[in-house]
Amino acid sequence: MMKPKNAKRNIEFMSDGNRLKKELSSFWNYPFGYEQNLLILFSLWFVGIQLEFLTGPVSKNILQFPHNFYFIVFWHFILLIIYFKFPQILKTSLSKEFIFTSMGGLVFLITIAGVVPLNIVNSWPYLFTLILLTSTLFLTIIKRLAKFSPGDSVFLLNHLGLWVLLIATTFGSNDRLSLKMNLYEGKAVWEAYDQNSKLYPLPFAIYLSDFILEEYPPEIALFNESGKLIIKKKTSGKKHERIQLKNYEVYINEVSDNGVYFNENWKNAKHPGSVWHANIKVYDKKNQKFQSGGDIATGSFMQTEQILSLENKMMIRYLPARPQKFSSLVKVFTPAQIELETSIEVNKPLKFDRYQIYQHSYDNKLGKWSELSVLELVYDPWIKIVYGGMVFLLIGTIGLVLFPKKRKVIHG
Amino acid sequence: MVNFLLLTSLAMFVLSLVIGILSGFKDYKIKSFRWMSNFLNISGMLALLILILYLWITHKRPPLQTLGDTRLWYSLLLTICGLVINHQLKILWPLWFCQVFALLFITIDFFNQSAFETLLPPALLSIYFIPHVVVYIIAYALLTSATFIGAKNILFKLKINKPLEINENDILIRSVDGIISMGYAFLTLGLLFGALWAKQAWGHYWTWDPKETWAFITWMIYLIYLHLRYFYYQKTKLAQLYLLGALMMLFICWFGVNYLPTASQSIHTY
Repeated sequence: MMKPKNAKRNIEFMSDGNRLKKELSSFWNYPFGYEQNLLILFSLWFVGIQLEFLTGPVSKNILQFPHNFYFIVFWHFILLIIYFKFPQILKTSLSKEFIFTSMGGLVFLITIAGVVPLNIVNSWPYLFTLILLTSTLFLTIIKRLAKFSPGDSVFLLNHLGLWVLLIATTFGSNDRLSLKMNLYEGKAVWEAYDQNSKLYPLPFAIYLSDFILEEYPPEIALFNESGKLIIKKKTSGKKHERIQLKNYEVYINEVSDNGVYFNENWKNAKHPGSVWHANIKVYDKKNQKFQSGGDIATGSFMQTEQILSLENKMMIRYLPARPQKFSSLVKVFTPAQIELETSIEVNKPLKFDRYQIYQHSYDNKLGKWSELSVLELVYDPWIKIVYGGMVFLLIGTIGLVLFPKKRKVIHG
Repeated sequence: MVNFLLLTSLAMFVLSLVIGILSGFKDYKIKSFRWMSNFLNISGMLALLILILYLWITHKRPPLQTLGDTRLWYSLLLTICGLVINHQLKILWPLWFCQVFALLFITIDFFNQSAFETLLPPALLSIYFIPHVVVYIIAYALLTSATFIGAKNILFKLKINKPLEINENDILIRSVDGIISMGYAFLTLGLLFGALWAKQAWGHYWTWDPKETWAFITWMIYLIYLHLRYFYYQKTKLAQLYLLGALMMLFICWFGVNYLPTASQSIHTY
């Protein structure tokens, strides 16, 4: 820890003249050094930990609209009073010691959350630290705004952006509503449910015409006798392909994405539960000597996986096919006879009413045969404020590079 | 092809490093050595660039998905940074550090070639995919190379070329700060692109996924650095030490997070 300069200064000042012994003995003398600021932070953490035991983590409910809004207004009103009426407190909370203590405190807590799976970010100590940091941020902004000059624009954009983001994301995200909707092909649904399975009737209905899942051709893999993956390679899903697997070369004789094993034979049929199937020949890579041949296939809810064993107990397998893209073809209806036909896909949500509607999941066991599509409906009333903060920060941070602060270098 | 390109870049960087160090010890008197070192360095970079393009074309996806992919880009960008620093500031050691790091990461890639053999999941099919990752790797390369400029005063006190004049030292310190603020800007861009993308893909801009948590920690740490330089401008040694620590945290964010207890909760680690 660094020694605060001002402590030394105080002592020098006192030995110089006035010799105020009382002040020497008192710890809480302005200006505060790191000791005092750290003590404030630790006390807040201590209180926070007590609260944690008494009331549990910061509950989402106490910070919902309008309470979060009132709290923000009240809190910043107090900060303004401090700004205008309490210069000593203002000076303290704008000091570098205070800024580094609150920043360092926040980083320390988040680092714990990053290392151990603890819910730090919903804890009271975290909330208190964030309030300290955001307070000094706000006071800094006010101070700069009071004597604004165009040269401060970059500074203000950065600090304003961060202030808006910290407040809106911490206190606004509790108003975010996230609902799920289970859609089955050929059926319309008028309601959605939240995390606690509470039902919410919607002012519109969604009808699922079709759920479409496209798969990548499965990867082909070599396993050793104890079942350990040695190497895997992508396949093209086309026949006559040659693939190198370590010391082997695999030749794909036949391949199909709707193989059905029936009467001890592989056939092609667009049947629920059909799988990727390939007839392969395995050669020694060096001398092209034939090693083995046969069928491999992925598994599904209808069929078991088929593996090709080689002479030395090595195995060649098709790995489960992975989804490339999945989407829901839907129709959206309202009582006012509005009808909208569209497709909802991962990364391509639909905006309707006050909701963003996302493709969330499907029945994993059935894979491409799933008739269930789960959509997620999100309503976030603070999102525009968050975007505003982001834009400020974005412009500010670019300004930081384009207009670097010129500093006089002091020699010696 | 992949083997060949990886080995080529490794060989080029090793030769460039050796010849570069020789030219440094000889007080820059052998100009041809410097030219040769630079030429080899650029050849190594070209090999990496061709490899990236080759992977992009043959795998039909931008090679920006796995740690192996990011190591390639990082090695390429890091050596570019080293070369630019070398050219602009006329100092050699950052390039050597950059080359040593690039060699390390390319070697890891050489022994983990399956890292290039992956399929793109639906969540990555987004316009944010390429900018988000590229911007982050640029930030990593900038922040690393800036740390290397400052690291010399801490790690070793060899006077390889003529002793630095006071004025020269000032320029160095200012360059470090300039590069760090550039890196910080890219870090911010990456963080914001990531948040926008998360909103589009998962419905929320921030979920405290361990990877996100570490991205925020890293961002805050470099933010503290900027404030450190503002409030304690004279303490350059402290700043350089701080940057070394910050780089550690950056590496935790990039790949160290995979080894932490929190990693199992993450859907974002790669």
